[in-house]
Formats: sequence, structure tokens, C-alpha cells
Amino acid sequence: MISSIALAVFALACLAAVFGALLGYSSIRFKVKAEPIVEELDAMLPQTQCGQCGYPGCKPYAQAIANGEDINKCPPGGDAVMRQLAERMGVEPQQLDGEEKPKLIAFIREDECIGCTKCIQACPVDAIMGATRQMHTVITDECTGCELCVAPCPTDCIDMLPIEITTQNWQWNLQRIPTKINTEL
Amino acid sequence: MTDKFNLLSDEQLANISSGKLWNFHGGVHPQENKLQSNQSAIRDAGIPATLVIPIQHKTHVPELLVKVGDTVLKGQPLTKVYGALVVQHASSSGVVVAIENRPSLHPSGLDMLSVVIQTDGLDRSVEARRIPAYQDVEPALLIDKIQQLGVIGLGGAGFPTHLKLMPHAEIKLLLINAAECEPYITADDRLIQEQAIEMIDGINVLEHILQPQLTVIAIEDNKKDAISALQKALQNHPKNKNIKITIIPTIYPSGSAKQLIEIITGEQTPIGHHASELGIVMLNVGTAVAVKEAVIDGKALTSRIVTLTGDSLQKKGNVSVRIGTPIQYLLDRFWVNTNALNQIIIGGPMMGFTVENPAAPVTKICNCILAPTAKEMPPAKPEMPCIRCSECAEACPANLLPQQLLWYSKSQDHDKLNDYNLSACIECGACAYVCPSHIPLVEYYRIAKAEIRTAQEEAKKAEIARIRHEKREARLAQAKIDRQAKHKQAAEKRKAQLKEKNGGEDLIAAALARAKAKKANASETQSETEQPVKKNDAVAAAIARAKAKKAAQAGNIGETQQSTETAPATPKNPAVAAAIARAKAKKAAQAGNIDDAQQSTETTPATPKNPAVAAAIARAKAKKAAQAEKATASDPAEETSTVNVDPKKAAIAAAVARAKAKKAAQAEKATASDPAEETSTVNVDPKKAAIAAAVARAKAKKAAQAEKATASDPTEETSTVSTDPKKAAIAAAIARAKAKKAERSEQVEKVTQQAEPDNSAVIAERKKRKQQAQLQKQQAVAEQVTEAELSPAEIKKAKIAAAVARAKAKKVQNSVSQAENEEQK
Amino acid sequence: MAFINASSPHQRTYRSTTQIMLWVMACLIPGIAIQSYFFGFANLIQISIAVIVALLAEAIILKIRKRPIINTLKDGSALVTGILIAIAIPPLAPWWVAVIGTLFAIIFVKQLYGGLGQNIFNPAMAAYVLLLISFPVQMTTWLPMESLHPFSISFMDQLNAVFTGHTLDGYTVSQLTVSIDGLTMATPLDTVKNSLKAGLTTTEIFDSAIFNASSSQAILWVNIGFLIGGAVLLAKRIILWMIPISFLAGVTIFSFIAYAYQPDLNGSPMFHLFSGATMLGAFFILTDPVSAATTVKGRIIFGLLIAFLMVLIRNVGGYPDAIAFAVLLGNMCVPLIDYYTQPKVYGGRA
Repeated sequence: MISSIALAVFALACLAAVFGALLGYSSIRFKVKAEPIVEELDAMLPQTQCGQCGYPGCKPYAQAIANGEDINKCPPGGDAVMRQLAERMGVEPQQLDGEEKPKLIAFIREDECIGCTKCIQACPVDAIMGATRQMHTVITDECTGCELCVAPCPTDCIDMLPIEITTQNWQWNLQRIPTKINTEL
Repeated sequence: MTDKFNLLSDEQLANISSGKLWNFHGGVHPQENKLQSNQSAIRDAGIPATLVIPIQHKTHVPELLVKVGDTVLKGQPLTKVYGALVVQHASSSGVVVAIENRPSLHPSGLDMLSVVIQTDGLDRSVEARRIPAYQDVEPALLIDKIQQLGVIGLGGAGFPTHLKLMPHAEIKLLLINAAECEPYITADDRLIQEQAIEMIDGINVLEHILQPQLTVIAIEDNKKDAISALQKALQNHPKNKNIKITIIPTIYPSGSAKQLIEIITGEQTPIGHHASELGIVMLNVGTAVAVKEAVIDGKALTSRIVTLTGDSLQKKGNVSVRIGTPIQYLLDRFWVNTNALNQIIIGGPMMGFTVENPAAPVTKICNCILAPTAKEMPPAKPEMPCIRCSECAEACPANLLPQQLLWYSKSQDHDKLNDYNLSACIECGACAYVCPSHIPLVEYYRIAKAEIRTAQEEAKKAEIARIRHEKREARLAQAKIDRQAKHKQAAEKRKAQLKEKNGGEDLIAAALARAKAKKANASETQSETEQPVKKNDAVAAAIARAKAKKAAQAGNIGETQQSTETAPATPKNPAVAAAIARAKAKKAAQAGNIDDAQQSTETTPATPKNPAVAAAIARAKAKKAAQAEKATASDPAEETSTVNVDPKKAAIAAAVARAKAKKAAQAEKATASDPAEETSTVNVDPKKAAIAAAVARAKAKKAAQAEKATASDPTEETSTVSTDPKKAAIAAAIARAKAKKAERSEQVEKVTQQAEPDNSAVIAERKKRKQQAQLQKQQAVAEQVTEAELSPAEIKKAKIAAAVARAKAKKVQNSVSQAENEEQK
Repeated sequence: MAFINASSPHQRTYRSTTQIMLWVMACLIPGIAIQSYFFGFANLIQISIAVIVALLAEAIILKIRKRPIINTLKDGSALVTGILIAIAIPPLAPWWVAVIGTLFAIIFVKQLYGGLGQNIFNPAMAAYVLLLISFPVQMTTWLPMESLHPFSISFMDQLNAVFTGHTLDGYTVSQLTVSIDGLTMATPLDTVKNSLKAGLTTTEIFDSAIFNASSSQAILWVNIGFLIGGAVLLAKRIILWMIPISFLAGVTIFSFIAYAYQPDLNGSPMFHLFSGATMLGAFFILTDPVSAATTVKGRIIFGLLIAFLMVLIRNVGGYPDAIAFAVLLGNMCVPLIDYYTQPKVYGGRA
């Protein structure tokens, strides 16, 4: 009786040792070189560099997430980005900390601009053109809508405007396709 | 792209020439419904009272050649050539009455910039520049002419014809698409029956341009009359050796470019490539006729054949419609039964889109207006779950798997959609046509495609933003290093100078003294984050200065938003810090309520929990106030009324002051660096100085402008205390504004004092009083002059002066707000 | 005037899911009729039970899942499932067999997976397997052909037997399965299986009285009935040719290989094609679009795979009829098959 138990234990121990060695070897031999997680997280973030997360840019926030910061601090990215981050970090999706707003872009009312260059210095992506005492203007395509230029403006001549819907970016929202009602039920 | 791997071989051409046909996968046989409209000859739709000619293409707006009020003739160009876009022309004579956004002929119904022409009914044309002997003209010139005369593909997609004709590869086969596979549409059918000769002429022009080895006219076997008309025209035509008529079986969508190529050649256009890489150019019959008219007759494309059909119309048939004719005009003219009509479809029932607004104009891509009754085209039945019957996959001419695409479209899995080649979908509608569950598959795909496009654009934008941000960071870091190096250099220079002067004796003492003085200043006005200064080196002085500056900056930020202490990282950019603070403040504000926040505009300096909300409100109020000011400023007599103490204004002032606290830090810094300036001017933050200089220059410029407007003496523009009455007026305005501001600041001061009396408040008030006294003195002087010299001619000047004054007032206010902030510390 | 905005295409075929299901039901009629002719009308009783239970179960589940009830019931898919289960079970099986089978099919196999279009297994076959494993006696108690009955069994007798287990005269169902010759009846496949176990060769089995008494003729005719119905479905393009053809071809080929290898132990291709539920499976079970492969190549592979599994299980396995197991195994492979048989998209890479 004892001997059979001992045999069983021995056999299991041997098996454990063999498989342990095998696993240990393969974990070294077949190690997948993981992409640096910060880069990956940074790629998910919307790159508005707006600082709404409490970090001075998207990369620092990505770094912070990698170090365990909450994933719900990016309102510009919205729910979608939060979910991506949650999936990548293997945590539960959380309620977004802040409102998800429609994307805006900055617009300078050019006749009110005094050419102070403050917005140029504030812009994290160099999307404002202009020079001292020259009228400034926003390069619409480069603007990330971070709103960092709004506060420094001494004449309050920067507006955040929604992106205009054109036939180019129209999302085919016919909205009144009767068939859609049924699918939602 | 350089690879010509697919170019048709001679053997294939021989096969094509012999009339051999291939099949494409799938396809459906919807009811043709062509007899309603192909029995009668093409009529003229007449000239509507107004023509609306859209000139905008996507987001591109070409340069206009006409303006409102111009008289235009038929065929007169309205725009210049813009990129690859063709020129748009007036389609009848008349007067341009408006150039504005009008509803467009697009599924979205979005407005587009259009030229509106009030027609005169005379239909006078510009003189046509014919090229009868086009054979002797360079193809490039003909292509240019085609672009100038506005020819685009008339089959439905509207691809600019000149782009197709540009020689980018050797062209083996010219394919004329007369398939017209969409049900109901008979525009091409009738066109061939009536204008076969012109069409052959057009093909000859195209052959001259493209030099293909073979030309094939592909036509579906359900157009018997058109086929015989074509055959007759070809027999009578002299140069018909290379033109073959290929009759293809009737199946939808045989008229789609890719599918027709497969039917005729057996080749498939590779995904992401162009048919021209196979050596094929395909054009619609209508386009061929338009090319003939453009090149041989020199006429611009100003009208097209449109099939008007559907049971709601009493008179069905094909009509020649001027581009820009409103659809409503056509409906009225062809006796629409308004009661029965429940939708207007542009194009055929398979691929056409609905328009909501019948004011939309007919454009070059509009080949059919279908006005069905509800009975004829019943609304789609409710969507049922997919039973995976695969009928859609059987019908798909692109051999896609529509079920999988549907699944991934619903789950918005863009990667999978890409795996399943959603981009190869031609949106022909065959899948939705056969679906027993009535799933609007095409709709799902269109939305998914739009989403993918948006997502891709956003990803691209984000990537660019990331790169730009990184580059900027690197640049700023480099600038910092450079600046430090410069400082060090300057310090060393000074050290050397001092050594020269003092023989190195009291060097340490001097450095120490400077550092101490500066430290005293800094600690007085700023937060205490300085570290002890090293005492045994002259360099220490420079380091100390740098640190003080840094501390000032940190203090500045902290004062501005009151919460940067908790910022997890040291922000490099004050604006970023501000945003961080805003985010935090927003969170704080969520705890309180908005009413509180609004009320607190008067007392916010004491309760600075939500500066962001307050700042926003303040901005809004300031804007309002500015408008009010503008209104009063227009009447110089009333201008003094703005000086009255207004509690609301005071509140605004308080809010503005807080929001602009950052700017106030400049003033502080200026004082902080005063002692340092004794030894070094480099110490003054160059950035801030530049801004100050910029503002000053801007003011000077504006003053100069004001002066120029009335006087031709710009020499003394910098002096505001001049005896010149005009300048005095400006000065008066400035002074008034300053006085007003002083009043405001006083109000602010009171509020803050009540909230939190403090030592520093006394200091600040003293400072302020001094300012105020100075301003009042100025005002007293200025007002005398103003009262003496006020004339209507100077109102404008006064307004400008007022604006300058406001800007100045704001700035001074900042220093006041600085004082407030001080109080709170 | 506001016009309707709708997505293209604005024109559609008139065929709907409901119509497809109605066609399927219509095409089941010849097979059912032949079944009734040979075995009495008890199968109609089973069909009624299964259909009623199927509809009720579906309605209740839809109600719980807060889905539109009437619209979904109208699609007829629950009806078809109920009928298929009823056809598959012995006509005189107790009523609760049909009830349990149908409930399982509708609730567990179909609705819990998300309803029509979402289930990975064929509901009817999953239910059949459940019943076969849980109630082997009831599920294998087939009556002999009516002509071979020792007693005359009226419709009322059958009705009573289904609900109480006894005929009006008090005979139990197992007593009814004994034919005039005093031999206990089973399906031909059962008979072959049992006889093979007893050491007989197929030739001997096919010649034996017991086999001829095992209503092999009736099963053959029933299969022909389903073949006719299936042919109509094919002609009407309700089902596509790939699965039935590849399956029947597969059955022929694989059973021929087995037959050629060991003719004494394996049935001939003809025997396999026309016994059991081969034809029912080929045209009505495998072609259930929801749980079948969707690509052209995939469908052919799917049909061949099930044919292979069926012949394998029939010849080697422990169960007499194998179509249900084979179908379920085939269903499991569908995602894999679909993934690896994507067609070449127009202009795509080969």
C-alpha cells in the first residue's frame, strides 16, 4: 500500500520535473520578443497631446498606464480607446473619466488676432502658423482639437468649432432606414 | 505600378475580337422595366427659370470666373481648371443671380457651392471653336480641350474623362460601355438609337487619342434596336475596321466597369490597380458622344440625356436636360402624380440613391430620375436575422462573402473587414437584392466603408500629430540646452569681466549678494522652492538665477491654476499644465454644482475650486462686455458712461483677471528679474519679452493706422501725450479705458479683501492706488482735450483707441489679478 | 413634400425566409406521406406534438429574450425544426420523447445560441442525438411495416400508444414490434449491426428473413420520397446543389471503398444510400444553411466530411445510424472550413 503510494508520488514528481524543465526551456528558447508596451499604448491614444489625462502628453500617459495608471482618463479617445486600452492591459473597462465630446478643431478669428504667438507656443503639435505681429492661423488638418491654445489667447479670438460635415466625411447616416428599427429590438 | 504584368496579349485581343465572352461570378436578373421609357424619342426638357450649377467637388472649390450680376452665355466657363477637376459651364444664357450653397445631388443632400443662373430663355451660346481636322492635332491638346469643355464620365460615376485619356500605359483595348444593365434606365439605349453616327465619330476621336489596337462596343442583348442602329452606323462609316460590337448576355451588373472587363477580356482588374494597367480604357457611350461634341463641334458639356421613368410620372421617356435643371422642374414638366410619388431615386433601382429635396439640380452624373409609386417600389421589409443561406455570396459579382462582411460590419471589426476585402465591394446591390432576410447589406457596407475611411484618416492624423509633438519636444529641449549654454557662457564672460575689474577679490561676495537679493525677491513674490545657493563660485550666481526663474515659472503656474502642485509630472509647457489643471478643476467642479460656479464669478478668487468653469464663464461675459463696449464706443458722447462702476463689470473683471492670471505672472517675473537685470539682461525671459514687445508693436501699429486715417503725420505716433488733438483723443480713450479698468480692479480688490484680508493685499493695493492716481491724472488731461475736439470724423479713431485701451486694460488687470493671487498664497 | 430616404437597392426579390421554410416543409410531404403509408399515421401525431411544442417554446423564449415574437415565429424555422425531429423519432415513441427533443432543440440548441442564424449545431440533429443517448429503447423501437403487423392497429390505437404506451386493446409498444414471424423488429441498419455482431456476413443478412421483415422496403421508399422532395428543392433553388451532391457522392464513394475492402462486413453503396436517414439528411438536414458551411468549396468539403463520418460510424461505430452524429461533427468543423475556403475575390490574390 505504502509502496504504491510512494510510487505514485514518485511518478508524479518525475513528470512534474520533466514538464517543468520542458516549460522552462521553451519559455527561454521560444520567448516572443514583446513589443514595448508603452509604444503600443501610445499608438492607441489619439495623440491630441491635450493633457486632459493629467499628463503632459500622450506618451507620458501611455507610460503611466504601463505603470498601472487608470485607463479611463482620455476623454478625446472616448469609449473606444478606453476599451482598447482595457483589452491590452487586461483590465475591466471603466467609466470614462470625463465627457466624450465630438471632435473639434481650433479656429482663429483672424481680424481679432494681435499676433502675440502665445497660441503658437501652446500648441503641442505646431499646428498654428504665424509670426510675431503677424496674423496667426490654424492648420486645420494638423489641429488635434486639444484646446490648449484657447486659454493663453489674450484676445480670446480662438474658437473650437466642430468639424464640418462634407460629402467627404459623411457617414452614410441616412438615419431613416426603416429596416434598422428591427435589428435594434 | 511600373509592372505591366497584366497587359493584354495579342492572343487575348484576337480572342476578344472574335467575340469570345467570359463570365463573371454571380449576378442577378432583376426585372428590366425598360419598355416604359425606351419607346419614345429623346425630347428636350426646355429651359428652366433658374439653373443651379454646382461647382464644388467634394471639398474642392475651384476659382470662379464669374460673379453675381454677370451675364453668361451657354457654354461659358464658370470656373478655372482646378487640379484634375473639369471646368463647369453655364448651360444656358442668363444672369448669375447668386453664388451660394445649394442642396446638391448627393445621397447626403448636403449643400454645395453652386452658381445660380437666372435664364433669359434666349439660350444664346458662346462661339464654338471647332476642330474638324482633329486628326492633325496632338492628342495632349485634345485631352486639354476635353478637360476645358467639362467632359466627365456620363455612366454614373463621373470620373473625369481627360484623366482616363492621359497616356499612362500602352492602351490595347478601348471598351465602349453600352451595357446599361440597371433596370429602368434607357438613356444610353436611346442615345445609340438616335446618335449612333455621332457616337462612332466620338470613338474615332478617342481612337486618335489613345491609339488602341482594338475597340469593342459592349452592349447587352436586350437592346435590339440599339444594336441594329449601331451595326448600320458602322457599315456606313468609313473607318470601322477596328470597331467591334460585342453583344453580351443580359445580367446585372454587367455594366460595372470591372465586371464588363471580365466579360469581354476574361481578365480581372487587380485590387488597388487601374484598368489602364491591363491596357484597357473604358468609356460610356454618352461620354463618347460628349467627346465628339467637345472636340469636333467645340461645344461644352452643358446637357445630358436623362431617363425619366417610374409610375408616378405620366410621361415617361428620355429627355435632354441642361445641367443644373432642378429636379422639381422636370417632375412638373413630365406630369408627376404628386400623391403617388413617395421617393425620388437618382440612378436605377439597384444602385441609385434617394434625394429628399427635389430642388437639387441635375448634374452630369444623373442618368436617370426614377419616380416610383409606393406600389412599384414598396418600402423595404423589416430586416430579419441572417440565416447564412449564402445567396448573397452566390450573387456577388466580386466573389466576396457578404455574410461575413455583414457580421464584421456590425461588430465594426475593421481588420477583419479588410481581410475579407470589403474594399472590393462595388456596392452593386446584388446581395441585398437576393437576401431573403431583407437585410440592407449594401447600407451596412457603405457605413463600414465610411467608418474605415474615417478611422484611417484619424490614425494618419494621430500619427502625424505624434511625430509633430515629438519633434516639437525635441526642438524645445534643444532650445533649452542652447539657452543654458548661452547663460553659462555669459556668466563666464561676466566672471572674467569681474575678475578684471575687481582682481577677483569680492567675487564671491558679489555673487552671494546677487543671489540673496534675488532670492529675497523670489520668496517674496513667489513660492518657496529655491534651493540654497552655492557660495564658492561665480557660476553659482547664474545657477541661482536659472533656478529662481524656474521657481518663478513653477510658482506662476501654481498661482494661475492652484493645483499644479499635484501634477504628476513636471509640465514642460505652461499651456499643458493649464490644461491639466483644467481637467483637475473640472473634476473638482463636478463635486460642487454649476450654480455655485456661476455665482462664484464674483468671489472666485476666494473659492478657486473650479477656475476652468469660471474662466469659461468669464470669457463669455467678457465677450459680451466687449460687445457692449463696442456699442457704446460708437458714440463718443456716451463713452464716459462705461466708466461708471458696474457690479456686473466688476464681476467680469474678477473672472477675466483670474483667467488671465498667467499673463500676470509676466509682470511678476519682470519685477523678479529686476535685480538680476543689474548684472545681466539675458536673465529676462526672452520669450515673455518677445510677447510684450509684440503686443507693444501691435499697439503701435494700430495707433499708426488710426493716425494715418486722419493725418499724414506719422512721425510722432509713439507719443500719446502729444498736444495734437487727434492724438489727444486717442489718449483720452486709452485713459478712459484705463480708468474703467482701474475701477474694475478696485472692485476686485474689494471682493478679494473681504474674502481674505492679508498683508500682501495692502501692498498690492498700495501699488494699485499708485497706478490709479497716475491714470486719473492722465484722464484729467486727456478729457479736456477730448471735450474740446470731439468731431464725428474721429469716431472711428476713437473706436480703435478704445480697442487698444481694452487690450491694455486687460494687461494691467493682470497685474492686479496677480496681487489677488498673492493674497491667496 | 418629404420623400422617403432609403438605401439601394430599391428593388428586391420576392423570396423571403418564410417562403424558403414553407418550400422546405412542402418538399417534406412526399417522404412523410410514404412514411405514413408504411407505418401508420402515428408520425403525424408526432409531428403535431413537435410542432406545437416548438412554436410554444420559441414564443416563450422570445418573450423572455424580449424579441419580436410574431415576426420571428412567422419565419417558420421553428416549424421546420419540429417537423424534422418528429420525422426522425419512431412513430410510436411516447409523446414525451418528442416534447423533450423539441424543447432541447429550440431552447438549448437554437435560442440559447442567439436564435435563428446563430446556432452552430443543427437543432433537429442535436435533439436526436440527445434522445438517442438518453432513451435508447424508445428511440430504437420501430414498428414493422403495416403489412407485417400481427394485429391491425388503428389510428386510435396509435394515438393511445403514443400517449399512454398501450393500444386500445392493451398491447404495449414493444409487443407491437414483434412481427408475424415472432421476430423483434428494428430498422434495417439495426438489424445489420446486430447480425454482424452475431457473426453473420452481410450477404447472409440481406438474404435473411429477419432483414426482409425489418421493413427495409419501407425505408427504401421513404428515402425515395425524400429524394423526390429534395429534387424539387434543388430545382427551385431553395437549396444549392453543393451539399446534397457532395454528400451523396461521398456516401457512394466511401461506402464503396469499405464494401470493396470487406464486402462481408460492410453494406453496399446502394444499401447506405437508401437506408436510415440518408436522403432526409442529404436534402433537409445538411442543407440547413445556418449550421452548414457557406462557401462553395466549403460546402463540398462539408458534404464529403459528413458522408465520410457517416459511413465510418455506420460500418465501424457502435450506433446503427450515424447521420446525426456525423452532422454534429460536421457542424463543429464549419468555421474552420469556411475560414480556409474563402473564394478568391475579384481582382484579389489567387
